[in-house]
Amino acid sequence: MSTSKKHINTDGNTAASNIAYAFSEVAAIYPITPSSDMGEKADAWAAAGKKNLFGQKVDVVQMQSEGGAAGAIHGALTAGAMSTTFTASQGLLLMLPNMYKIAGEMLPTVFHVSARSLACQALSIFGDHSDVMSARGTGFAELSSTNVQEAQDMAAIAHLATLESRIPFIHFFDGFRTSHSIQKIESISYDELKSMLDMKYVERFRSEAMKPEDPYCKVGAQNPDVYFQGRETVNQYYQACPDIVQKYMDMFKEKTGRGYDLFEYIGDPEAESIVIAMGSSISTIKETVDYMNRNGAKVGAINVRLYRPFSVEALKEVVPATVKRIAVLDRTKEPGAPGEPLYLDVVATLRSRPEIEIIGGRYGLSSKEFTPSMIKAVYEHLDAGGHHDFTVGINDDVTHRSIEVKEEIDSEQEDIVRCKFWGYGSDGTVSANKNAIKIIGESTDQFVQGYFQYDSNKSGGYTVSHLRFGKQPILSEYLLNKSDFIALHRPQYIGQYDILEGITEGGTFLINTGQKPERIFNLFTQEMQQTIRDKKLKVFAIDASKIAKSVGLGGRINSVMQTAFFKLSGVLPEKEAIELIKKYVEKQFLVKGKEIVEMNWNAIDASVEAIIEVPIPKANADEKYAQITAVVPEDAGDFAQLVMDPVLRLKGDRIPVSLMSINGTIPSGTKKLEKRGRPGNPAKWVEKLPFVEHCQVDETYFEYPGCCSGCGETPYIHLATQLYGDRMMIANATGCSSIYGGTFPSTPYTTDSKGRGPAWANSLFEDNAEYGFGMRLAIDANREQLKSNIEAYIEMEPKSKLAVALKDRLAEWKSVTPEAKDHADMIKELLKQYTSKAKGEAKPVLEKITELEDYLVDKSVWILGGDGWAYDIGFGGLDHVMASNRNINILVMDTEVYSNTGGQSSKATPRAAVAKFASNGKQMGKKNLGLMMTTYGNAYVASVNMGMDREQAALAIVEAEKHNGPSLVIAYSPCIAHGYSLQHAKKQSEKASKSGYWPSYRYNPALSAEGKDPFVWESPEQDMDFNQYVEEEIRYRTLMRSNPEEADRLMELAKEDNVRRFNDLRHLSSPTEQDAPKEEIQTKKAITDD
Amino acid sequence: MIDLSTSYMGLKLKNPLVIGACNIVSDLNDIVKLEEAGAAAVVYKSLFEEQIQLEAHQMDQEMEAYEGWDSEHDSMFPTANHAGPRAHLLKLKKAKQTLCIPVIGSINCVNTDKWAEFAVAVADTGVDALELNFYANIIDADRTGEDIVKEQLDTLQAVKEVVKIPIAVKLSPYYTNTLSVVTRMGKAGADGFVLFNKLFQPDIEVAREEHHYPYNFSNPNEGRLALRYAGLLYDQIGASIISSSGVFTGSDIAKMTLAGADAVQVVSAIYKKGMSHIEHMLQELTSWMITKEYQTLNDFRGKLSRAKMGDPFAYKRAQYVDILMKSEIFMKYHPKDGEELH
Repeated sequence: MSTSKKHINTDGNTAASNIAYAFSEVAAIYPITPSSDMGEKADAWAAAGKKNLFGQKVDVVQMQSEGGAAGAIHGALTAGAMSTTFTASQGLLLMLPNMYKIAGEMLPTVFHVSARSLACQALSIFGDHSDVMSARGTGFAELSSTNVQEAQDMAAIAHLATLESRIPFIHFFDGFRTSHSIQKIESISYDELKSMLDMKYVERFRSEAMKPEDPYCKVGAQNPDVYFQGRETVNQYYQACPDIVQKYMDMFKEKTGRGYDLFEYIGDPEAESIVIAMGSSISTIKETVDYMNRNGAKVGAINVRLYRPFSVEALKEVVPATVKRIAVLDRTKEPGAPGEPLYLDVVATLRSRPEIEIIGGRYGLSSKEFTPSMIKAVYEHLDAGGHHDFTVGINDDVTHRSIEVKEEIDSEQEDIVRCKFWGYGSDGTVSANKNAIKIIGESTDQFVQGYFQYDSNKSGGYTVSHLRFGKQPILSEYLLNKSDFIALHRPQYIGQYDILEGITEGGTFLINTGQKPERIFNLFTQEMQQTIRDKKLKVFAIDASKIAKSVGLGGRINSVMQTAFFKLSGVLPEKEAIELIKKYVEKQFLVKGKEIVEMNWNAIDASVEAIIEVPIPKANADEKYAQITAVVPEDAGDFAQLVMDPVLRLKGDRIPVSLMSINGTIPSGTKKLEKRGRPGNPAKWVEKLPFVEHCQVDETYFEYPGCCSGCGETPYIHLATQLYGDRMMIANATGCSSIYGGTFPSTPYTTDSKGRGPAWANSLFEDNAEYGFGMRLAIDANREQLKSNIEAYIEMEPKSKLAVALKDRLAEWKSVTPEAKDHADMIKELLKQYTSKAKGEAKPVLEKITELEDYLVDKSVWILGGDGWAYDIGFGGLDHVMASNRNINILVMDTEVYSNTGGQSSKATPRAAVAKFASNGKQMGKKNLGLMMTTYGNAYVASVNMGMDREQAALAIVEAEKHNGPSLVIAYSPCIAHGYSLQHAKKQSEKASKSGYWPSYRYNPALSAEGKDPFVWESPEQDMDFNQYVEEEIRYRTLMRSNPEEADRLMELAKEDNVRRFNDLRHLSSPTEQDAPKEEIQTKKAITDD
Repeated sequence: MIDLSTSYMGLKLKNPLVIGACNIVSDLNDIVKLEEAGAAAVVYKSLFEEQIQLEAHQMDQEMEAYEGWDSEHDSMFPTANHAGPRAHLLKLKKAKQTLCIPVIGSINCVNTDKWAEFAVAVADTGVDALELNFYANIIDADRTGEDIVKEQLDTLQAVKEVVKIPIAVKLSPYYTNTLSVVTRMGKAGADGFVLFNKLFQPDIEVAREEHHYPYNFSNPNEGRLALRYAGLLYDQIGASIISSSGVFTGSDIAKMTLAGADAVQVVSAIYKKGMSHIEHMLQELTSWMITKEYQTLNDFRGKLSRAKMGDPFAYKRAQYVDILMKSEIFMKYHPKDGEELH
């Protein structure tokens, strides 16, 4: 056993990725929250030259989708490279086909999964076991980690076991709760890992690789005569696998002192009631079991580590003979099943113990809190003979499956200091808290835990940091419900959020305010004032903004607030804490110069000096206090009051099942009720454009989106909705635009005074073009049906007023003008009259017309998404629908990275730009999507840049909509991922065009039909150097600063890319250009003739 | 045929006009234009250690500004570390590879142990010589002049030990005894001296009561100190002398050469009058030499130096002005009322 233990502060993703890197030669990756960090870390390590266990840099390759990543892994394994990948949620589901193949071919690998909810009624980026449970039939082993320490250790055990067992593994841990939680763990060195690796299994793996020197054929197909037998050949390996895993768990104990079992029993050895679960909930269950047993109970629990292959024997062994009742807790839902998967496995396992009553329940979907109080309620439910198929943590007032949590308990270990911070996105609070954890975790013997909650809005939303510090490893895997220290970095939250919720007796409250000390108490709500007095809180204040400015830190108050935390929180004695932070600052900044160190020291000293204790006045009847802020208007209706209000106050957990829609829908026009963000001011200039026949300038269809300030996507949505909002169907790919477009409980899409507006939906990331295409099919089918019924009716009653109106409508069947809409409204009125009086054969026809009356005017189908969708994961679908003859409009808001998942490279990322997965700069040039789509000849294609030429952008959108076929508009969209203040987005957009980077053009097949040149080149003449564009953006500057030689090389190539892209496109223009080679002209003519 | 060629630290220069270290000498396009305009050599913009530190700090801050936005935007860029002076060195190397005229590197460090490391890195780019820019704003009252000189001598020696190319020292004008410092540095191996460095002198804007930082251009009169020390040092040390202050015209080059400078460094004149002024200055110098019937710079270099002049007062302390006022010799050199000093 190793004698010296090295502690590190890390999160679950980093811990697992470090191990995956050690054992792998190839990593095929694709971004998906919350697993993206694992791929990003591996890519960054490879870029920095980090070596794996075999002295090699890992070949980290980004693929176009998770399906692609799994395929690449399959190939790499087949050809003899130890390979890994990282994913979650629908990403894992996209890998399923290959996973069956990989397992079927007995190829050893580990997929590391930060387990996440699946998109059902809505997506959720948060954690549960829905994804890994969906993969349980693949033949992959599934090994679960309960915390960050195990995310490291189980990752290693999985890699070791897969090589010996030949069975591929999923190693999973809970998304966010473990993947993003920062904890102090014992690290393991690559030397220690190597000492556990038996190289003969590596050699065996390599010897079985496919190669022409020793060829074999992996058969493609088997028939009924042998397939079944073939499936049964693997049984012996699955039988052996649990013992192999246990062997490595034992070896791990020998080497590191940390022992694990396939199933681990926790609690009273003579318990009668136990729960069985897996994942991060186990730590909290252990904390609760300890608490309950300390208070006289005799309960236990079983932690399932190896879920597949499920060792019946190993589970039976750990169930005490005394057990009479078991509650199996599943963190997933299988609608319609007799029980969730783990429950069914336990039931099957314990057939030999019929005396045990086993019930199953669900908890913690989408990172729903699972607290000691809830766990205690589960035991109480179990002991009371409670029902099976229960839920805990919600209020199911419809089918009444939820159990009641009767008592709030505080079961946390002794001597834990709990600190909560209210900040807002981008104010540095989260970074500062991560820093604080790092300082304390690395410089003292304290254990630490940091977990961070964020608003769904992209910028300026709240952040809540939950920090725990203690002398022993921290078990509590849930948000702080008791806090010894609460800091409010943004006083504007008073009245909206329950700031002091859970503060302990005698606790400390720190507020950032510039208010005079004697007035600070009056800033609080009555409830807060009461809490401060009742709990005898110590209240401190600091004017962080003022100090930050005075010491040269600008608007970022994080360092100031961090110092105040060190002084006041009681985690460390004050003097020691300040010395520690100063020492850390010196270590951190010395390499950047003494002056930087001194500036930060001054900030620390100034912060310490500036903290004041707030006087608590005696209660009096005239005391001033802050009012509770209305977060939605009082007259906004039930949805706003009953659903939005609690969600916006962070009390959404209290919303009962009955208030939720069954299909994930919410009313339009709800974002404006939140009273934040930017209103949708319809642009007047659009109306004046000669090619615009009609647009909405009095009302808006898109308002207050929760996007980043200055987002470059939303202007295009404003424009498109202004033009077509009242008859628009939007299919929105998952990404930023779906998050600000449709995150519960509100949407920025709204209706006009007639109640019309964009109908918006998001299916998935990968299928958006097909999803929108399907909408078109439905509209076409419904219109066709409507048309045939209209024709039938006209034949029946040709002289009726309705028939005359319907005839007129048929004559203008494609018209979408305001007059056509008014005409349709008039027909709807007539329909009501005629249908109510109809008899005989006309009645069902009129009823059918009424059913389909909303299709009297055609709809405008828009398929919206970012470049990650259009260029990568959804490209196959986009390509297919662009090759169709259906009337769809695709708007690609090209931010040139996967913006929503945090800036990973896509095929739209330009060469030389740094992005995640391209730490050393994007090596290849940007894909010329527009050019590719012009090859179909019948598709409308445009490239636009609103910041450069808004009229050209509007013209492209209008032409695209008019085009009776597939249209694609690629829109240059400034994004925070470009790394400059988006206040300057217009100027930078102009530079993008004028430097010869972004092409503006329209390719309109309709012009060909008129004998005109279909390609209209609209880029301005290049009048500035490309460098003048790139030097403004961090994405380029970073490489210039971090790897100037590579930046130099790539920049030269990037300039060549620009020239080539322009030339490739300009070749599409008129063949009358004198310098165009003859053969080129002929070729192009042939294409346009098609 | 007038021959303007000269030698500076062993480097053959086609004329005495060298472009001093400044921002113009950092962009390759501009440097090429300087060469085309007739510059005999360039001193590439100084590599300031402090600037590298600040850049690294700024880079970290920029990246940090994008952290912690929301659940999915925990960060927006991959982790990256500043590459230190590599970007500067890359540009310098390109400049050296592109130009035909000599390219001189320049460094300034804040940590004493960094000078040698930076010197090696700059020398490795292939530059022809290196200038040690001993630029420091001393604000520590406890450090003596000797402490500072000693540190500079140690630095010079450390650099000489690891670098083979010629080393020039860009001097501060504010030593107690500049000649002594120069002599000691000469013994420590300095191959050339640049007379003089311009120190950071922020101004105060009284209306707003705050500091402001105007361009710190030379003015023509500033050349007198360099003129004086060129005259004092000519023929007294083995190292080359290059005057870097107040050189705006061909006459200024002639003056500096008469005093004993091997070459001159020009910066402010280029900022103020553009690159075409190089040709103009050289033309002026040539015209003057034709007038004076000089064929080469050596024909008059050091003619008015202390070593070559018999005049005992020319380089004496000006504080004796009350005595000298009465001297005929003084009057010979002092301009009469209304007469411009050229």
